[in-house]
Amino acid sequence: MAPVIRFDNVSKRYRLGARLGDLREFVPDPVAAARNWWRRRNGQPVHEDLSSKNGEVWALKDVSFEVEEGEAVGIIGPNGAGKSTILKLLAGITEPTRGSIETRGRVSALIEIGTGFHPDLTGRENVYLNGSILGLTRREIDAKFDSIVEFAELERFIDTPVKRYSSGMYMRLGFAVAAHLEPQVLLVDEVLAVGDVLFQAKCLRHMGELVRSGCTVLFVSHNLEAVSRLCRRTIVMSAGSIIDDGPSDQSVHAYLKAAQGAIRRFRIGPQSPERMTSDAVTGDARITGIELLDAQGRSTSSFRVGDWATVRYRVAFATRLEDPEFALIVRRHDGLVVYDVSTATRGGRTGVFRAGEEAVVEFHQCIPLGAGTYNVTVHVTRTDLRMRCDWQEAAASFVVIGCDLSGGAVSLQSAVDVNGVRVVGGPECLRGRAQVFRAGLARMP
Amino acid sequence: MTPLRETPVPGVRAETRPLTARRPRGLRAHVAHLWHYRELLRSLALKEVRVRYKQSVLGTGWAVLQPFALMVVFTAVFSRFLHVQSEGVPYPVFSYTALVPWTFFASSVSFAVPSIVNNMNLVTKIYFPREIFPLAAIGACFVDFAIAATIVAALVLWYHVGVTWTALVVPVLILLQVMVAVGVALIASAINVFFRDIRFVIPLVTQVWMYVSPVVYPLSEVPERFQAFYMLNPMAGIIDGYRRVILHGQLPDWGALGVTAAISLMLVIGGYAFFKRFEMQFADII
Repeated sequence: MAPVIRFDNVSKRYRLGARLGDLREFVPDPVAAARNWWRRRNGQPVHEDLSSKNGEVWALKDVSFEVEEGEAVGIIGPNGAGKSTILKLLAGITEPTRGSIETRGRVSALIEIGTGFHPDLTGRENVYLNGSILGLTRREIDAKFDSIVEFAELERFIDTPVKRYSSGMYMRLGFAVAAHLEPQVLLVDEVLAVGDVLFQAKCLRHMGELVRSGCTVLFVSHNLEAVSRLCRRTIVMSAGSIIDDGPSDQSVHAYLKAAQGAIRRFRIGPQSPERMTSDAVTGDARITGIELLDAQGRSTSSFRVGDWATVRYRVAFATRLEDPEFALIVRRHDGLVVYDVSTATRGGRTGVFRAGEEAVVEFHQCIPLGAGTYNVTVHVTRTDLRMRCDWQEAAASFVVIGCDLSGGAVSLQSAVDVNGVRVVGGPECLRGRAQVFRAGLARMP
Repeated sequence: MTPLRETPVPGVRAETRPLTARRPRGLRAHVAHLWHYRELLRSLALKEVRVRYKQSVLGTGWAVLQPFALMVVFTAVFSRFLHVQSEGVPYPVFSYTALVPWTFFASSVSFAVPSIVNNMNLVTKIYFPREIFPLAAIGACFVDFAIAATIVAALVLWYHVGVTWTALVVPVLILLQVMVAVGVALIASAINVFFRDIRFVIPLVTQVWMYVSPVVYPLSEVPERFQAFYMLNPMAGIIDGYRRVILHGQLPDWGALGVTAAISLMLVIGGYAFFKRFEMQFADII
């Protein structure tokens, strides 16, 4: 396969604030010129170092990669890792400070939906404007116009100024235009972060179709599940460098592990200063570690819908506590609490713990959740005073990977009968339970 | 760097284009690139026109009213009070003929200069040649110019000015006037990205510029010893050209117009080169 994108040792520097400095770059600096000349004469590299000077940020540092024709590549990483900079460089919005970038074919960038919409213009006028901004010719838009309007489901409002549109209508129209681009290389930046669940599903489905039709896609997102579903290969960025590049499930796993490690070090370190000053928790008991386990008891951070999962955390007691409450909260990436459970809410009694003693708490549960990213908050509460002993917000996170194309917030795992004949099988959760049951049996002495 | 191997891929056209660097180099390549985006230029200019007169009662009437109101005021002040000479032509036609191209120039510059900064969201989100923004603004002003120009014809009929075949030179003058506007707009709009001071400088400069151009007075009023220096202002040659070919039935002073054309050409090429030099920094600076 031939590469359609090649990044060759690309670095990008941004200057913060200083506006004059950028013009000064164009004034020749005789000292630097002489130094570079001297170095070149002696065969020394002329590159200055990539360490950040005052007011400078290296958004990318010597990044190299190639993308083959028809590949779908995800780019993930924490905020500020340089993901969007890669897309901006590819789209030609900005130029690399060093290194070279080559592309082949029609590159379309979807960095924002409805770029260039003007509120005073009607839907129709904006379709033409936005289409030509995205690189379509007028004749192409003429040919696709009806299909665009139909896709956006806005037939009745197409001659209304878009300032009177709801934000949902606005986005539908913007995406409808973008969906008709027929690019050879598509760059997508976190477009799915906006809009409701249905809209996101529609976008994802459309991108899946593009990938299947052989379009090369570069997809930047925080939605790890979407990335691993759409892209075979994923690049993990951190602080301007590629730290992992490989099959998506491995990369996503590596990223989550690194992220969790960072969270654990920060949140559950024994001398965390944050905890010392916190007065919201009493400190009678401390959560000293957390891990997520699969049905076989292996540490993991990704589950399939319906898998059996165990959240295990350790609690060290500083004082004697009677019947403390252990709790678990699971939140979706957007903050929605999908489950809030504790030993007390389930009516359980936990017993007495002496100072210096340690407890291992394990919550076992099925994950009938929709595909997506989730995090886990754990806490310990004194039942006698109703006060928190320790609270670890978002101490761990995990992804749920869908095993079929059904969508939604939870997986109800329907079985389907047609004319009394079962065509789709029963709950996977039960299968998961059977599995964990077997695993439990195997571990018994 | 070793060249990429081109291995044939099933289902892909045999002659796949080679990987290309992101951006053309050299002025000619830039112009070709701009030509490729001509439809976008058209629709952005169209948008400018539409948006400018949306929800305004007079609509395109403003395109006429602006130079017309100035003409009325100038006629009162300069012709009635100050008795400025108008080369034997009724002062309203005399001044309006100059005010139409002048208004085009002044409004082109004033709309084009903030155009890049105003389209910040496009500049940072999508790539196309950035000169499209100032050019679209100028394109919209050209529509206004065309509308306002029809009034010149009406005034010429009203005051019985005998228009001859020399009026056929007008397209040349229009071309020159667009070149001057484009050159100045490209330079000023690029600088405006880095130094917003330009926004305040431009109204001052255009006002002074109008008084050093023969808009309210005839070129013949400029003392002989200043003439050579005065004609370095390309708008002087253009405005005087309009008066000669429309109002006096004369051909332009080709020598002076040659100088004007040379300066206009230098402005366009220099302005474009300047703009392209800084273009790729816009997204980082804004």
